[in-house]
Amino acid sequence: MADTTILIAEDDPDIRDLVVFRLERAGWQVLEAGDGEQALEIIRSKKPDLVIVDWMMPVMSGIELISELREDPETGSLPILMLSARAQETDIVHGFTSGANDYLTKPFSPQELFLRVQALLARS
Amino acid sequence: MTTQLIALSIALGVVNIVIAGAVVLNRLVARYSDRRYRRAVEQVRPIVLSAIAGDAVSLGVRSRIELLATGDLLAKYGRNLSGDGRVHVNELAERSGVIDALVRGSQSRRSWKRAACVYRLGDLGRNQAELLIVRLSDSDRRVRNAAARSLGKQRCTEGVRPIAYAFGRGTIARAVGAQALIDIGPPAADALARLLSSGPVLVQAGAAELLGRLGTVSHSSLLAEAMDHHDPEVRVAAVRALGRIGARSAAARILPVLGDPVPFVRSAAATALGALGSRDAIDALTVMAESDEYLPARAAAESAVLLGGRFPDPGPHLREAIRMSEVTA
Amino acid sequence: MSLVEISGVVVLVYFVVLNLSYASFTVVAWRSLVAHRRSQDSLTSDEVFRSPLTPPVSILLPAFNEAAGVVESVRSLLQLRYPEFEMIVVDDGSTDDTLKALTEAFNLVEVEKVTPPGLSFAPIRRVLVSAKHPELSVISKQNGGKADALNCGLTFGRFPYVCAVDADAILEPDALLRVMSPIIDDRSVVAAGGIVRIANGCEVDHGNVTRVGLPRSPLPTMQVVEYLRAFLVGRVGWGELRALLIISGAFGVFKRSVVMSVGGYSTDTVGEDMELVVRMHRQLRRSGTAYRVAFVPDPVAWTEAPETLAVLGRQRRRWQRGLMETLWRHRGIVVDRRQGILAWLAVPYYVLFEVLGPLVELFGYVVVPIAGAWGVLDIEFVIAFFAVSVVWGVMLSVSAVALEELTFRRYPLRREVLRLAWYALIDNFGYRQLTTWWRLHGIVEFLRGRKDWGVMPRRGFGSREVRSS
Repeated sequence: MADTTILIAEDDPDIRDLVVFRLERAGWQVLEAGDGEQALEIIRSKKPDLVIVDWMMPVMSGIELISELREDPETGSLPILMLSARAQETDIVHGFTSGANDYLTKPFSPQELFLRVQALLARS
Repeated sequence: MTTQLIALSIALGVVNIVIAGAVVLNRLVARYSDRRYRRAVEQVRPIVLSAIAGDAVSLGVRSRIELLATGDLLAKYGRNLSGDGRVHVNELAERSGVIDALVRGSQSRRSWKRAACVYRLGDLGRNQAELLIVRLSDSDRRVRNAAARSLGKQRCTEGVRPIAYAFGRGTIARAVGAQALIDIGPPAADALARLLSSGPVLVQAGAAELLGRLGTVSHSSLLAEAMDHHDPEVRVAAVRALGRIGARSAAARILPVLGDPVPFVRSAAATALGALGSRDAIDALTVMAESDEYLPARAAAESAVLLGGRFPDPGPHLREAIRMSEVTA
Repeated sequence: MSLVEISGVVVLVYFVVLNLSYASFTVVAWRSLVAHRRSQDSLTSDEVFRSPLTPPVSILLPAFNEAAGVVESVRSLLQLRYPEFEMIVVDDGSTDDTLKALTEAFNLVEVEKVTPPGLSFAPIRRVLVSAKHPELSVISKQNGGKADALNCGLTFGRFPYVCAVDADAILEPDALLRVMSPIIDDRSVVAAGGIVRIANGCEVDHGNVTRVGLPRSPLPTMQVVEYLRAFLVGRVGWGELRALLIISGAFGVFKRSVVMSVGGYSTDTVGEDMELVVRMHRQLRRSGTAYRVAFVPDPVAWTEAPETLAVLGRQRRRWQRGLMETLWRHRGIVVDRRQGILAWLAVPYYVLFEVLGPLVELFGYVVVPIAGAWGVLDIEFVIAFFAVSVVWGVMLSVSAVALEELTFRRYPLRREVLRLAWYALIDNFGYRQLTTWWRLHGIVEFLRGRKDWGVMPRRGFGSREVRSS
């Protein structure tokens, strides 16, 4: 468990704080990225076990990041959880069809986030 | 005269230098207080985060600036939290006196302060329907908007009727009122249903639109009735809502709307039929795509293609729709 | 009284009225800015962002030979925080690689589109849509000028509001949400604009301003002060008076149906952004419709300012010409009682101070000293009078900088504030006279009837480029 690494790609530092705090408490190592491009770099160099992606980020959006990851065979099956303020059904559908494995809307419950991450990790 | 002018110019010159100096001085002071504030934030942050995670933390004695930092941090975090995290934010806000300060502020004589406090109660407070509903009829629009938002954020079902009312009278921004009702969720649907059958036209349209998001199949007969409304805005909203709710049975009621006299009502009907997956409509839609004017023809073509129609000799709108569906696939 | 004395009095009265009106604008703007700043703590923009009733917007981006920066602009526009929008890039017959660059960056594929009924514009060559971003389409048409390209975009736009953006403008991520906020709050708002700032000296990364800074060279820095004055004082003030005549072409939103009903952008003026707003005002007032043109005192867009005298001069001549063309075309407003504040305040103000201003100033600079030298005027009085008007002018610049510092405080470094304050103190000595000179040129050009645009070479916004040379 201790060597499980999770990356959070999110431009809002407040949300990053919340996620990092909750997941580190669960004993995982958490990496942070402020935009999609930075996230891509970290994923390629540090190879995390799971990625939490915000939709709206500067430079490269979450959706673009996910399709980039899915095209690369090395990250093709990396578990991805999308964390987004876009709560409408069409957006959620778009999130899943782009390649996200799970979708959580903001505002979110840290406990729920933890459980979903746990479930995704157990499945992979 | 000349002497006075010279005196005036010297005086103004001094004023200029004073203003310029004040700008620079203001920056120095701001830098100092910013730094103090940031330090307080960093001190409070771990405590707040750990409290949000559910730890029993003690805040100890707090200076004013730390109380301010706590309030700001809690609001920033609280805004993004639901469930357990939100409950813990609320507990800490109550214990640290932040809520009391906001409740006091919500009665301030200064409208911007009322607005800010009412707004923040939405991120931090719980079950303050009574206070917030009073603010929903505040004299200042920003306060009213903030109150609607906070009622939504606190999920106060008591807020449904007053928000719907304010939404109806246009005393709050429609987008904000709508989102508040959506945040409250299903309990809001029945209030909207009532608005749909009475109230100004713009409200009826808004209510229909929102029922499309919050309503269930049980509201579809009411929406179907609204398709006969005299105002095209309401008809459009009703058609869209029916398409969104996705009741298959609604398709038969929407089909005649393809003959509506107003083009954008026809467009909405065509789009809704596509969304409902009613293949019976393909023929009517194809005819419309070939013969109607621009907007409805385009909508009809899009739906006809979406429904998987076959077109031996497609006209321009159908060709465009076929090509677009290939590109986006 | 001799002729010289009369003209002396005229000049005197003119300066007094002008400076008093500037000063009262400063007060109005100060109140409005403070109120706006206070309302930031109760901004419901998150709700508006999530709400299904937030109206969707068509973003129109006319591009002519913008290969250097267009991809970067489109990419940053696609990242705008707004619930639903489409983006229409109109390639106005570019002769460079604009279309090729867009095609490669966004996987554009050609489609066949039925041209909607609407405005007229130069013939379309090709229509392309992005396979990657369904909300993005590009219309390539024959060259017809910016207004023509915007009319094409207006015609193809499917949403109730349109947002016109300059290809070189850099937008804040929530610019659209902010500028739409008056419309969301009040459906009678038919157009809205916001504060435009100068990007020179700022760090720009992937189409976002990542660090705000001042330009290093004096000329663009002067323009920073000038923009602060124009937007923080002028536009805010006119917005408060509900008589805003200009929404910057760099970034503004309009209600599509109203723009269409007044006939879209005018293709035979160099000031099409102002002309459209004035025409909307005029027609809506004529028809007695309740409406509002709103100004959002928020910095929303950043634009590249000319760095050389030649280019700046061309820009200012064009502005002056555009202003005069618009006012001349709509001169009927002043005698139409239905036009209200436009007739008795806004248009006369623009004519008196913006159009005639340079002439009166020239008169002051040339005639008064000569008269003084001849002994017709008391030379000491002349000097004292000049001193007051200059110091007063300085005060307005300094106040604008103070307003910025009190409200937005966008420039993070202390020495930058110091420089800003310094430039505010000196911009009345030299720079002001320079702009007066260009505006005089503009007046001459207007009278001669020149219609062509000055060409402004753009350098494009590269990644991590610090544009401050």
